[in-house]
Amino acid sequence: MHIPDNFLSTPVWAALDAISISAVGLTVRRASRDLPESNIPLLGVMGAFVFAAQMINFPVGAGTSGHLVGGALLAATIGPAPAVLVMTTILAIQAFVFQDGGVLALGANVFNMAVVGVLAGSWPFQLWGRASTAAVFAGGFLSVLASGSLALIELLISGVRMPRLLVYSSVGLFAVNALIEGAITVSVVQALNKLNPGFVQKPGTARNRLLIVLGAAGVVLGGAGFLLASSAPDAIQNLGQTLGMSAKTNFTTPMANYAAGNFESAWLRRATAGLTGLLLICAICAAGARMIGRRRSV
Amino acid sequence: MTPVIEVRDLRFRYEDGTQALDGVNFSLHAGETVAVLGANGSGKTTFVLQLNGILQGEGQVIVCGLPVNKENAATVRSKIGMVFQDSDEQLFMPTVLEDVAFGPLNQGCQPAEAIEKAKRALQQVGMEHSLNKAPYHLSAGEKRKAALAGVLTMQPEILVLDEPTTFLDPPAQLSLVHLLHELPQAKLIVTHDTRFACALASRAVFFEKGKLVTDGPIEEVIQRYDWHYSLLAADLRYSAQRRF
Amino acid sequence: MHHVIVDQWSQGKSPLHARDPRAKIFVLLVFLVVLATTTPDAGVTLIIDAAVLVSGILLAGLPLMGLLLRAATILPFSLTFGLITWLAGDLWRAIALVEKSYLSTVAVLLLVGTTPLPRLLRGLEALGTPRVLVLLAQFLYRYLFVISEQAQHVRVAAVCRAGGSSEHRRGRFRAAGGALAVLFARSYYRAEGIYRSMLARGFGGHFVLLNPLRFGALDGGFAAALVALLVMARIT
Repeated sequence: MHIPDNFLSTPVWAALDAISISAVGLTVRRASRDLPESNIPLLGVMGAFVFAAQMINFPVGAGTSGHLVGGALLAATIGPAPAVLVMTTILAIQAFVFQDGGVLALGANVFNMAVVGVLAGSWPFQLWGRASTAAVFAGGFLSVLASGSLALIELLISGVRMPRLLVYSSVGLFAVNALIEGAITVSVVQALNKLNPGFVQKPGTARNRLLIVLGAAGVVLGGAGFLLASSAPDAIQNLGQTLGMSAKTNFTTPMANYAAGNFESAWLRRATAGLTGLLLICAICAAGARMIGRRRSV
Repeated sequence: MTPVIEVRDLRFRYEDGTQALDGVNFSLHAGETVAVLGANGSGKTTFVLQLNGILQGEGQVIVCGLPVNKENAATVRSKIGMVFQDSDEQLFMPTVLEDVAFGPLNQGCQPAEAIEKAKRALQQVGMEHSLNKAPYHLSAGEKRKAALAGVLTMQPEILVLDEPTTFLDPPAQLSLVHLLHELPQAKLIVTHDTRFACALASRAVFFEKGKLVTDGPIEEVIQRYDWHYSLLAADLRYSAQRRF
Repeated sequence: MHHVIVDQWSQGKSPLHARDPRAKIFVLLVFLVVLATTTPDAGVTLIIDAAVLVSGILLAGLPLMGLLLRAATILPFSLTFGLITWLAGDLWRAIALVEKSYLSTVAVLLLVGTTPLPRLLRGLEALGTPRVLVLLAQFLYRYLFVISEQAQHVRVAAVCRAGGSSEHRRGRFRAAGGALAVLFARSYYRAEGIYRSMLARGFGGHFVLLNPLRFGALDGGFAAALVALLVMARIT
């Protein structure tokens, strides 16, 4: 799920780098207002915890085991905005120190796992209003499903050749991992509640409309990604061909190619519209977050 | 001579209702070394955390003539240097030098001055070769010394050490004893290790369930309370007849 | 563990280790962009890029085979996709994919193998990364080793108590969840302890950091020369 360098085409990794930088930058600004610097050691230590926790095996049967990814768990314990920052840091350290995920592709991985993954993962929790098992499970599930699907879409758009079988099995794999994440997150949250109920945030107190909107957007992005990948991978690959296969067209904007391209199939048009729509949702949310953020500071 | 620490009728209750300290009276004079003894949970650590305002209870706590409260926190914390039990929690910066310089930087020193102070303190504890090492690479004894340097560099008048021999092997303990012996500050040493206490302290206090029940010369206190927690006194000696 | 080895490498002394991290980060980014935009048929460019990396490894005094082997962790992933791309009919693209992703990995490994992470973070901060993230990363890295070791212990303890049969799978699952919760709690209380130490040494709400970075002529020359070389290799 960590995309390495040289798999994504230049327009894709560059666009996602830009999107992630703005999204994380906005989150930093929010966090600097609400979080004192004295909280940073706690967040750092929690990041180290998630890192280390990813090493612990959860047996799921037939000799296989799953591992925690952690976006939803972090959102449920330290809050969504800090969770975005902690996941971003984890991904950056994984990219540099462990070469797990590319450096140019860091924007894509951050977008998938630290932004959308955390937002989608916190959404059920925020919506439900209480820390029910179902909400926690849904959070873990949506978080991994969304990030995995987006990664797949990004690879397909970039023109990475993937036979249908591989796409479908990847989608299936993400779905299974998502179920595992839900189960693990529930297991840990339940154990945490027994140790000290204060560890798990009460969504009622931290609930705010902005997070619910952003979370919903994350779920929509991820869900749409999942649906697109599982139903029309070819269309996405064709779209990608129009966008960024050859090195010579690397530095032109994707939109220029849309105007110039020949769309033969209606499917392709629909897929294009879908993708444009997704990116627009993202942009609107980012702008909305900035506006709401400004209003709140007054 | 006015005591450097004066505590009168200190009471503290945790959020869950446990009365951790129940009317403690205590004083420490300049240059004195006092051992703080008592079982786990008797209130020793809670007590020392009151001295620099990390925990705030009811009653009077006066350090170097200043009452310990929010306004005086910064000054009090430069007068009392505290070495915590877990050195990993104390050495939180990436390198030893940066960590030891943390205190002076917070006191307002310029970076160059802070670095100089840090180097001098590290020299004092014999760790001048470990400037750029990460704390992860140090042994338990070295970490303890680095933590001590981080405190000495703020030039405190009082040193508080919470279970300083934890994780230290005998050679490291001996090294620490020699080091502490040379330091002129008044010292408060929370410890389970009675031999370590005897090597350094002239006086001892004994905590029991949040109350300070004894205060006197160290040999007397240890003799009086040794039976409380001495393994020898508990008579766990094996014999052929009494095997479990 | 991987990060322990890389950490050891980064503590070495060489002209490359001594370079300002900003110069090295900049060169890495140029390298990666050049590599990413290299067309599949530009074999000479790739050879030059590889040569730059190998000279870097040797100059830094790092174990050549060791580093190249560590970078090979990317190969299962890239070879799979390479194979698929080849089967889809595009051999050149497949080879380029494998070569480029491997070279990228070696390049990143060279950077972290010659720059201790705290210094790398200072460099990133100087280049504009928000302070919050840099501080976060600093604390994360500081406690990564400690907590990873704790996680190993917790894992071994859980394995020792595991049943083994599938009927106990739910029990083992729950035990692993409990183990994680304990690790969480220990980490949380550790953070409290850190906070207390910070307070005890006069923390006033804002981290004051030492900034020992100094960008010299040598760093400038190093960056300029390499960037020129890489860009020329890409263009011609």
